[in-house]
Amino acid sequence: MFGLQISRIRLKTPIKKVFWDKLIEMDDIQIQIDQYGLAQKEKTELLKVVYQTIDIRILDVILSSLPKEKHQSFLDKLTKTPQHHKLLKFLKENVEDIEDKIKDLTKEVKKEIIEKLQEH
Amino acid sequence: MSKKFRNLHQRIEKLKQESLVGLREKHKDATDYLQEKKFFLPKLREHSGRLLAGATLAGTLLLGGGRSAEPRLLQTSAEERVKLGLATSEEVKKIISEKISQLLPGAIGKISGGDRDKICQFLQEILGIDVCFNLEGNELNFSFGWMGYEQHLQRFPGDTLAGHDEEQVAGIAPGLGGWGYFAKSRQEMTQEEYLMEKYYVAVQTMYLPEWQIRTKELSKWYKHRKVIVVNPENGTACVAVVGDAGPAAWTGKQFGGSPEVMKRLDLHLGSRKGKVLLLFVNDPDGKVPLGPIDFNLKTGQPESV
Repeated sequence: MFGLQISRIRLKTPIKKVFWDKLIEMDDIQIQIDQYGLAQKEKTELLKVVYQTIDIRILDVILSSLPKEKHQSFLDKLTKTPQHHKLLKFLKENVEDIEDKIKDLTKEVKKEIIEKLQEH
Repeated sequence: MSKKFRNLHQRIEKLKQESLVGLREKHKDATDYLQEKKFFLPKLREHSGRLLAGATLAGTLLLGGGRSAEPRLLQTSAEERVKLGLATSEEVKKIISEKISQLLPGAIGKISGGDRDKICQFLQEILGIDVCFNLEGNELNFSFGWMGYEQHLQRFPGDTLAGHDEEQVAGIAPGLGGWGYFAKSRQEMTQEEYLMEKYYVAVQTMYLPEWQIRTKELSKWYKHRKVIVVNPENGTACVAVVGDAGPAAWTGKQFGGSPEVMKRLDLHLGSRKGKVLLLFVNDPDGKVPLGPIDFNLKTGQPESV
């Protein structure tokens, strides 16, 4: 059932991938957005700003966990090829449990986003 | 866009802006570094797409015609490579400086009809930004004039110089900018408002011919109006907003630039003034980021050439 609902969000401009996408589950947000009866373009725009918010918060948790002397090296890699799997390898080598940290943070932010969407 | 969408979008956008401010407060060095690289974090995913497009264009140039790849790329003019997103920052600045200097008059003031079109078309092609001298019937008395170094402006009630992260040597103006504060409070200041003060200009709205009779209407139109400032001496360019009114005619200057605008234009040392070209940016969707620009916004900036 969820699969059918999710498939209704077809993006005219596909959202590009970044390396942490494999750690985050977005179905619940997409299902939430799909409930508002928005036009296709509106869904896309809303989903974009949702992704942007999550991306900023994930970068925050990464920078908070990564030793400061590694920041520039990481940012150089991220801005060059944000989707590259070696970025996660780099983080795993330098931060303990970074995958769990990103997953936990994403859950928190998604909760905030869903609450914001449900505000009346 | 529907009212429902606008409402939902506004809520998430606010959360996004709060997240950006939080990130900047916690990781100032990192966010400054991204800014220096002209990397706008919310566009992280789009940035990735632009690089892929750039790579495709580069491949076409390198592989086409069955000739040796390197000479074919080198044979392409720098101006063409800028349009394809394949030129270096230095090449972009050099092209802008050479071309704009040819089109500008010797004396400050307005620019004649034919050259106006050429300047707009040129900047549009090189930087990928829609620029114009006259927007929605509005035009400044000067589009080419002297720009002086201004002080920081108070962004919210209680703002102090210590809170401004660059060019503190400029000091902070004791009074408010022509359009008041940029944000209601420090806590509510968005990334956009933070950048507005960082990259603001002062223009002489008070000397506009119709200012006295259309004050309210013109004031509203000019408030935070996006502009581009070009230093023809070195080809540097910076996108900014109108954040203050001035300078007074007796100063002999026609524009004022925030400390950061002047620094990006390399006009922050010595006499702290220089002749600049100032045009409106037609950006109804708010897609043109504030700050220095030395690449084509549409094709992106290559990592290496």
